[in-house]
Order: sequence, then C-alpha cells, then structure tokens
Amino acid sequence: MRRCLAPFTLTLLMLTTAFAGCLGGDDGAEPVVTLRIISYDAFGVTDEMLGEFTHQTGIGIELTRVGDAGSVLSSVIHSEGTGLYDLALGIDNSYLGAALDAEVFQPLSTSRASLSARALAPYDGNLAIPFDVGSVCINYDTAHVDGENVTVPTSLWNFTGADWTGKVAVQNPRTSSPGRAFLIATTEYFADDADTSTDYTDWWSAMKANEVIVTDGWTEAYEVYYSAGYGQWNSGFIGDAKAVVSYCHSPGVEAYFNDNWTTSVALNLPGASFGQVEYAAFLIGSEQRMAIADRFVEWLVSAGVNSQMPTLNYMYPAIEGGDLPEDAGYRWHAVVPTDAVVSPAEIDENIATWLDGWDAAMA
Amino acid sequence: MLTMTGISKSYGETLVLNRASLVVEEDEIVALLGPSGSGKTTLLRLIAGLEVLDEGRLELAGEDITELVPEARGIGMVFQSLALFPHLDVAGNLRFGLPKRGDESRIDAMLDTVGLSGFGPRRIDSLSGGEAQRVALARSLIAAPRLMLLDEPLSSLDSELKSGLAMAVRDILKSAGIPAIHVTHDEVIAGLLADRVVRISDLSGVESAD
Amino acid sequence: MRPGRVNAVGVLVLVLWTAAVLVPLGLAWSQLAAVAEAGIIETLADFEGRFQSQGSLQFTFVIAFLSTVITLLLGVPLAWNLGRHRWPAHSLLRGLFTAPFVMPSILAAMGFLTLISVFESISGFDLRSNDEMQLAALLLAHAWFNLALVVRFCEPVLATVDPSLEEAARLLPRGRTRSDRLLRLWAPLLTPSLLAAAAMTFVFSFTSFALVRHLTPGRRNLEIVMANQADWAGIRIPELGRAASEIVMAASLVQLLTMVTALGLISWLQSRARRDISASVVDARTTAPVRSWKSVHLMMMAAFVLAPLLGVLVASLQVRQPAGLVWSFDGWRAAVGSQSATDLTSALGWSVAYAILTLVIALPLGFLLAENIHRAERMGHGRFAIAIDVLAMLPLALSAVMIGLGVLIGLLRTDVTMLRSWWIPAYGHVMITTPFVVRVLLPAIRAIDPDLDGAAALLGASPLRRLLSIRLPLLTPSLIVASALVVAISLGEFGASWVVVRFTEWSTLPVMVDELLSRPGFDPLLRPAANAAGVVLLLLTLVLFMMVERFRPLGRGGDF
Repeated sequence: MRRCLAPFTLTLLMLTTAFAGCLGGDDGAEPVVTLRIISYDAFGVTDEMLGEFTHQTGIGIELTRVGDAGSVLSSVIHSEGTGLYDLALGIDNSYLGAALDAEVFQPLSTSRASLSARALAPYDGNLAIPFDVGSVCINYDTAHVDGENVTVPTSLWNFTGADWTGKVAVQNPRTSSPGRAFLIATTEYFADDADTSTDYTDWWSAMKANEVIVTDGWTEAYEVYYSAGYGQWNSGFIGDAKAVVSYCHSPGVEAYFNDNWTTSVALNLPGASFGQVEYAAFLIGSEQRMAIADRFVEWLVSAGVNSQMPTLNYMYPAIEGGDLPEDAGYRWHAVVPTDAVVSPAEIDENIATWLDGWDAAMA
Repeated sequence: MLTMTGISKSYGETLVLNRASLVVEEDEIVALLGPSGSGKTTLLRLIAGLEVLDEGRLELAGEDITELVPEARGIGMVFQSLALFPHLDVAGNLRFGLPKRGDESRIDAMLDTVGLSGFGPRRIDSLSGGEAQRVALARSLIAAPRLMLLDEPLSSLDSELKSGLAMAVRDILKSAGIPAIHVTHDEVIAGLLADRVVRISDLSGVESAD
Repeated sequence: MRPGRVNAVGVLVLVLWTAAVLVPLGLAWSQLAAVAEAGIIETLADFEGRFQSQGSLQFTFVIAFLSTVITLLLGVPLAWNLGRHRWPAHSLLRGLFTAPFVMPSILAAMGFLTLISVFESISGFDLRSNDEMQLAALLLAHAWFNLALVVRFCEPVLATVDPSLEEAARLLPRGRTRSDRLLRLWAPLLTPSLLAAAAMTFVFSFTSFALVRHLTPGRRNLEIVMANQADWAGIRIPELGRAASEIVMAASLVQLLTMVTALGLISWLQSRARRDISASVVDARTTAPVRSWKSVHLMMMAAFVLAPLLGVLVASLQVRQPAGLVWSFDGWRAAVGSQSATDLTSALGWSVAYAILTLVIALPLGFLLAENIHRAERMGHGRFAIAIDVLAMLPLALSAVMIGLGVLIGLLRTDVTMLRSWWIPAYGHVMITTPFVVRVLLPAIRAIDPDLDGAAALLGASPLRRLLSIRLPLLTPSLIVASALVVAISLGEFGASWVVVRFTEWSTLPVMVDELLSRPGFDPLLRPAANAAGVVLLLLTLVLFMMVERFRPLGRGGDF
C-alpha cells in the first residue's frame, strides 16, 4: 500500500476491461446485424438455439429478460420510439389491447398462414404474431377431490363452499399474468351464467370470505401453496391449497417431468378458463428493417422451433396442428377446455374497472 | 529573523490572541511563558502556518510568509505529542525530513548529534520518552529549517531528564545556528533553554484565556 | 490543517456523488408525480383500504423493530464472548461471524428454507403452515444476517478496552459485583456502538426483500409492495400507471424518511464514539476458557452461522426424481452446462470482473467522501458533516424501484445505448458499496493523530505526498477491510435490484441464481442448479472474508 496507487489502479482497470471484453465476445465471427429482443423471464428458447439462428442467418441476438408479460409491455412503453429494443416477445392477448392503443408496434410481414385458428382468434393482424398459446384454468389435487368427501366442482361457486375454505390459491391480477387472465375469465363466466343477479365481484367477495389464498406471482401460488405441484418436494413448501390457478396443461408438464405420474388435474369447466395467446411484435423506433425482424419471427413460428414450445416454454405451439408431445403423458394429462371469449378490445376497455372491482372485493 | 506584527486570532467568540507582536533575532532562542490555555500553542501553529490568522503579518528573514503554505515556509516544529509517524521506524521518520534523493548518511549523522547513535531501525513504540523526544527534534533538524518551534516538548518527561535534555537541545540548536521559539509553562526549563524569556501576556495585547 | 483552503477535489467528489444519488431520485419522483393523481397523505391514509398495500406499513415497522431486538439478544453475548477472550483461530472466527452480512439474501432464504424442511422432516411438525413459525423464521434469518453488525461494532471495543478500567472499578464501592460493572462500566462504554449496530440492523431489516418474500410468503413489507408496482409505476398511461405510481410514491417516501432518520442517528452515534489509534493497542483479552460453556456457546453460534450455508449445499445436491429426492451431482452439471441461459463459469468471471471494477471506483470515492466528512468536522461544521455522512449512506435508504426508474428515464432521455453498456450495472454496484467504504474508513480517519499531517507538512511534504506516505499507510488495515467488503458486496449484489436492467451476456452469479429461480420449476434440475451457483458464490465470499480478517490487526478497522 506504500507504493504509488496510480499504476496499480491503472493495471486493474486494464485487466478488467480486457477480461470483460474477452467474456463479452461470442465465438465465431461478429454478426453483421444484431436484433435486440426483450422477453419475459421464463422464455425458454436456449442460447444454443439462438446461436443456431445466428449461424443460419448471420443475425445476432441480444436477449433481455424481464419479469413477465406485464413487465415486457411496460418496458416497451417506457422505451417507446427509442429503439432500445427491436422485438418484444411475450405480450399476451390480455395486454394486447393496451399495447395497440399505445401504438408501439410496427407491422411485420411474417406469414400467418401456418398459424392455428386458436392462435389467431383474438387478433389476426400484422402488428403482433402469435408464437404460443395456452389456457389459464384451475388445477386441483385429486388426492383432495376424491369423489367421496369432496366432489369435482361443477361450478365456480363450489369453491366458495366449506370444502374449499382456505384451500384455493389465486394470483393477484395486478402483478401476475395468469392471475389477470383468470380474472378476465371470471368476469365473462359470471356475466354469462344462469344467475343474472350476481357478477364476478360477488364471487370474488365470497372467495375472500372463504379465505382464498392470494399470492403475488404464479410461482408462489403453484410451487409453495399447491399440494399437487412439483413444489411438494421443494424446501419451503406449505401446501395448503388443493386448487390453484395455473394452465390447463400444467398437469401434463408435471407428468412429463415425473415419469407420467401426477395427482394434479385441470378443471374442465366451460367458460372458467382463459385462452391466452403470446405474441411477438416489432417495435416502433427500431433501427432494424422489417425484413430482419421477420426472419426471427419466421424462425420462431417455423415448424422446427415452434413445435418445441411445450418443452421450452411449457405452452402449446401456435402453428396449425401443433400439439403437446405424447411422451410421459404430457398430452394425456392436459385438458383442452372451452375458454371464455373476451376480445383484446373489450379487455382494454374494461380491465381498469375489473381490476378495481377485484381490489374492492379483496379489501 | 522572525518578525511577528499584530497577530490576532479568535475561535468563535473567544479572542485567543490580540495583536501580538514579537521579534526573534538570528541565533536567538526565545522562551514563551504562560499557563495552559493562554494561546501559546495557537501562536506557534499560526507561525508554522497550520492555522490561518485573522489579522497580522509574519516575516521570516525579510520575506513575507503570511500567505504561504506550511510546507513552503521552511519552519520546523516539535509538537507536544511529538507526532512521530508510527508506521515508520526512526530512520524512516528522519528520512522524511530529507529532500528526495537526499544524502542518507545525514540520517546517521543527525542521530549521532542527538545522542541516538544506532537507533535507525528502532520502532517508534519501543522508544522511551526521552528517546522519542530526541527523534522528534532530529527529524525537524534534518530538514535544516530557518526557525524551530518547540511546543512544550519536555512536559511529559520526569524532572531529572528534563534539565539534561533541555541543555542538550540548547547545545544542538546553538551549534546548528537555528533560532527557536520554545513554548512552555515551566519557568526553570525556560531559563535553561532560552536566551530570552518572554511572557505571552507581554506580547502587547495578548488576552489570557484563564 | 489550514481550514481556510477550499479543497477542489473534495468539492468535486461531493457534487458528483450528490448528482449520482439525487438525479435518478429526482427524475423518478417527477415522473411518478406526473402520473399520480392522489396526494401522498391521501394514498397513505388509504393504504389499509387498498388490497395492494394492506398491512404493509405495520408489518415493515414491526419486523424491523423485532428483528433489531432479536439481533441484539443474540449478538451481544456473542460479541462479548468473542471479544473478551483470546480464542484459537480468533481472526477466522471473526471472519466467520461477520461473513453472513454480505451473503446474497436470496441464497440465505434458500438456505433457511432447506433448514426448515430438514427440521420438519426430523420433527414431524409442520412449521411452514404456521404464521407464527414463519415470522419466527424471518426474525431468526434477519438476526443471522445482522449478527455481523453487532460483532463488528462491539468486538473491537471489548477486545481493547484498557484492562485497568475494570481493575479500578473492582476496587471501588460501585463496581464490586459483576452486574454492577456490567451496568456502570460496560453498558456506558458499549452503548454508542450498540445503538449504532441496532440502527443499522433496523435499516437492513426494514428494507429486507428476499427473506420476507420467501420466509413469510403471505405478508408484504414496503419493499415488496413497491416491487409489485414496479412494472407500472411511472408509465404515462393513466389506466395502467396511476395506482402504481401513487403507491410507489407514498411507500418510498415513508421508507426514505425513516431510513434517513436512522442513518442520521448512526452517523451521529459513530462520531461520538471515538477511539485513538496509537502506535500500540492494548490487547485486553484474557485467555480463552476452552473447556467451559462459553466455548460451547461459541460453537453453537458458529453452527448457527454455517447452517444456512450448508442448507444451500445440501439443496444443490438433492435432485427430485420420480422415485423421490435423490443425492446427485446433476444439479451441478446442469449449472456448469447449458441448462441455464448463462453458465456458471462465465457468470463467475463476470462477477469477479464487476467486483474489481467496483473496487477501483468505490474505494477512492468512499475515501474522498470520508475525508470530506472529517474535514467538515474539523472545521467545526458538525451538522454539515452529518449531512454529508447521511448523503453518503443514502443509497441504502432509497428504494430500488425508484432508482431503477430514475436511471431508466434518465438514460432513455439522454443516451439510450448506455442502457446496453456493460458498465451500467457497475453504477448500482458502486452506489451500494460506497456507503460501506465510508463507514469503515471514517472512524479510522478520525483516529489519526492530527499533528502527523502538520508535522509532515512542516517537513516539506506536499499534500499529495502527505496523503500517500502518511495517511494512506496508516489507514491500511481499514482499507483492506473496506476492500473486502466492497468485493464481497459486489459479488453478492447486495442490493440486487439496484442493478438496473440485466442483459444476459453479462450475467453475474446472483443474476444467474435469480434467473434459474424465476423460471417455472417443473424441471427438477433448476433448483439444484441455482443452489449450486449459490454455493460457489457463498464459498467465494466466505473465504474472502475469513482471509481478510487475518490481516486486520486487533481493535482496528473493525467498526462500520
């Protein structure tokens, strides 16, 4: 320490920059063009696959991951017009209305011919291209719903009964995208059902009175509270909930990783689920030409890549004929429900009211 | 040699020095007497440039040093706490007083002069009071100052040591030909060390703080 | 030393630091204010009414207070035991007990959860479903973290108090019994350090995030409330951003005011507890009673500190298979392989690179800030000195959401490409570590005999030479400790969310852990892989800390 600090500092600085530069580079040649993509945390496409894409097309990929669909949208809105990102992946149809309103997307010319009707149902334009789909619905534990003491619910009102007191876990719609999707489904479900005197707020108030567990994220609800999920083998498991809001194919994913065995079943209740579609969108302000963005989105919806959505992203492919693999009972345990139908425009118009209504019911 | 005119210094509300003036001739050792808290240390610190005076003028060898930084004044000081650098040994402390690329042999010569031959490699915390005292003196001397300031350097020593050391210090200063101001509250030592004893209260207008 | 002269470098550093802290805050605040409609008082009054913020105010304060109490209860006996005796491997023990403080809280959370599972399977009790048990676990976890503060603040005092003080007390009527001495001698001696440790514990328990999220999943504190609103706060589309902006504004203001008060208290307390660095320091420790219950106590505390770390190790080696939980290295293999978006070795490399970069910036910066504070004190501006001190500590009081938003907005408006640069996360690292440099260096700077500088000046040394040859060498022990702290905190990304916007190429170890844990955990390899990365991180930090303690001389460089 008695030596002069300056040369020491300088050396450290040079080492750091050299080190950093060495780590930051890719192997192989520098790509000519780089696409900057923002996606949600759980986006499952691996670095290898992206590397292959770069190899085939010469387009480099810089992928930034942020929380969930809501975080992607908010990042896009914050940075609108600045070109910070070129493509956004993961904004879903519950947020699409708001995104289109905010006018942050520019057109893609990717062909939608290969996409399934289900994927194109909420939106069929060229501003957002679907790359995976899934249905958000309630999963329950058959160990609890054994058919004798507790029967399979035939209506959402069953969950407000004594059998389910403190045993249902849902997510906060303001902080979780499955939670939001489920809330939207309930608005439709209770608007459409036979009983015209009650609406979703009544049901949610009843659920609150029935000690529903509300978590801020999907992971907490599914992993920590759900008794039939993979969380039962993790430390920190609580397991109070016998039913949870998740995806209708979540039991399939459980089985897939657990040698075709799980006690979790998706509740096939018409209208009590929400058909979620996740989109890829090209952002206004991007420096890249549409052709470049198209290449990536085409790759994402190409048969080879898109058919891997079930194992990468735990979602259905968006392409026509795309389905879950049969291995380990993935497809067998999944349920394809009849979803509540709510258009992005309708969502955009009413979501603020619905969220406030939910807040009021929960307070 | 040193001419101090009209020096005043206040700390907040307290006026510690009020238009003090003093002249120290070449080759003269002046003792400044006064009880604790009378502004003696303050005066030395002002002369050394470690504090800024409120009003007044300082001249050293004809040069106006009032605005100069301490390192440029060519003044040496032995602090009451001695202020020896604890992380350097005796030789290291003395070396600090040499200019860069200075003559290292002067260190041993100076140690001989103060009667501490061979003390170069000794650690500061291993020195006795008298030895530390002399190291502090040696360190200031080796820088060949134009004026020496001594702030109660002997006060922490026992009386036997004091008089012996006082004489030794006087001898060293005289043979080096360096004028000095010695601040103390001990009349006897003042008489031994100095050519002239001045009471701090006599420095025209000094207000005693007690 | 020549108080009249204005120090140009000092002023520059102060201005730069103030800008670095307050500009993002200001930007975020103005953006939030533009979107929010309801006033702050109105929002706070409504906190209980809104589901999103219900119960968070009480919970935050209660947890902070209780954690402080528990930490003191556990920490004081430990500091006493450690400090009063000359234990074998004393410096290693000190390193062990102070290491938890820099562990990333997400890993501590994982470790504690594993421990709880182990207890549950051994005892058969269901601890996790019980609210009180969850709370107890949280308080214990906070104590685990903050023990280091009590030990750091109190042990140096205890180890170097002049033994003649106690001897004198024993011979006087009011000091005859142990309890008398404890009350009249030790308590007053230790009180400033204890209060400072308590205040710091309060600060860190107040802003605790990962532990609250994982150990008490049903409850929210202010940090969690703000994190929940982070997506939409500041979005200029009212339907999306209004409620979130209001909540974040209110919560962050409450947090800011409380934390600034606590930090001001710490600063004031530390300035009153001065001890001198002289050439020799009294070693007041007595021989270690190796065969007594004190020894057992020490070993139990050591076990307590190591337990969560072992928990993380265990979790990395257990993989879920259809048959059940199996011991396996698959998790480690997955971590090093391509299972995660980044792999272990490159994440490690980046962590080290950022740590070095942070050190190079934060150490001089913190030193200059500490010098400024000291200079202000010496010139008699005590209150201004406290203000600068609080300013230096301010990053610890600000919510990550505000800063993240502020930096984002600032860079979006000026130079967007900066957001992608690899050194932007360094901003977060530097902001979080500099306060600790100040805390460690300040007491040491205060303790340097002021005459040393004057003596060197009179011997002809220029200010720069005085800095390099006198002040810095005397500060060496503290500089080493501060460096270790900076590196350790940077490695663990203590205020993880402070690191603004992560880009996958530059993922560090904590980011890798975070990433792995945020994916749906269907794949049984994700958790063990995350824990494996955690083990590497923990080992690195632990070894660093224990090594550094060997170089810290007794009684010096210890306080924060």
